[in-house]
Amino acid sequence: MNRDPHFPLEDAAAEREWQRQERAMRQERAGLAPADGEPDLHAYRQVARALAEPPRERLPADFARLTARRAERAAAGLADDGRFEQRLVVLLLAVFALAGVIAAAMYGRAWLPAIDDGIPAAWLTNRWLLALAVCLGCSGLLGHWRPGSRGRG
Amino acid sequence: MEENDPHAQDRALADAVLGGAPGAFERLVRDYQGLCWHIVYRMVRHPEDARDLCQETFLRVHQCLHQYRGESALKSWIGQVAYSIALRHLQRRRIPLLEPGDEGDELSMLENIGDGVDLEAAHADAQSARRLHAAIEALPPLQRTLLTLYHLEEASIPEIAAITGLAAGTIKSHLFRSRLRLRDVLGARSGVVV
Repeated sequence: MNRDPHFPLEDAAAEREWQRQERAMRQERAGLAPADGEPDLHAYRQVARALAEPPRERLPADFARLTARRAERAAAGLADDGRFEQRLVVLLLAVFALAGVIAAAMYGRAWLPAIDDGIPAAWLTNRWLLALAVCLGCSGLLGHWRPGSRGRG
Repeated sequence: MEENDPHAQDRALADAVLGGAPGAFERLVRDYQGLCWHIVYRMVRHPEDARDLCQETFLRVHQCLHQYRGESALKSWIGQVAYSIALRHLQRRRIPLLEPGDEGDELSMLENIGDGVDLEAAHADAQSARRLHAAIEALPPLQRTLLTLYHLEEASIPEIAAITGLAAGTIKSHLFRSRLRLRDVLGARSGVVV
């Protein structure tokens, strides 16, 4: 039940009128017979009566049941999705590692000597690769120094 | 214990939902679907949109109920979710919450107060009731919603402030001016210049 918690309106006449509105609302709620000599109050009582009527449109009768079921399904779905994604990531990582081991076993003999024979040196003398490395380094440093890049949830 | 903690029942219901008690969330929806409907429907006025938004409200409540700490009434907390979802809907549709120039017409309306205006003839018949309902429907969404919370839900001004985030004085001013305007609708029928 609402009670006027005394937030007076700035204008004294407005405050008096507010009190009339409140009195009409209380009388209407209490179902008191209208008193003579207060036509304004009668009008406010009619306003209060109209405002206390619920809208003609309503929610369907089974709204609570259907909504609860939908919410519980959504929650279960989210939990399942999370577990499924986690398992998928583990599986993909395992497949990737296994493929790496197999590839190394099959072609490792050809790669390893080539690496030893100076491929790193060739990479270091390629200016495009150097430019790429500088760009990546700058980008990383800027990201690190950007204000507010840390501690954001 | 409940005397010291006015929201103990609310927290118990929230705990039951979070604990997965059978039927607890359905009970929560049933308890607060009226409040949600009154807020959302009065804001958006479109029954189908309002139904969808009510469902969205309770899905959000289910998802975020762990954030409810029992410091306020569950009614205010759920009302706040419903209000913010309806408000976002209006903003997306670019529907204004208030009429432009809605503030400041208080004084001109006050001129009609207590002038011995004869309104008796206006408040008995069905026609004036229809006019009144039409006038309520024509109010801006915010005022309609505040009046509904105050008169239909019987929420106090501080409760409405908790739901809408508006200052208590602003709410009172809106309620006052809206009721004055509605009273003037009855006055207009009896030929009174407003």
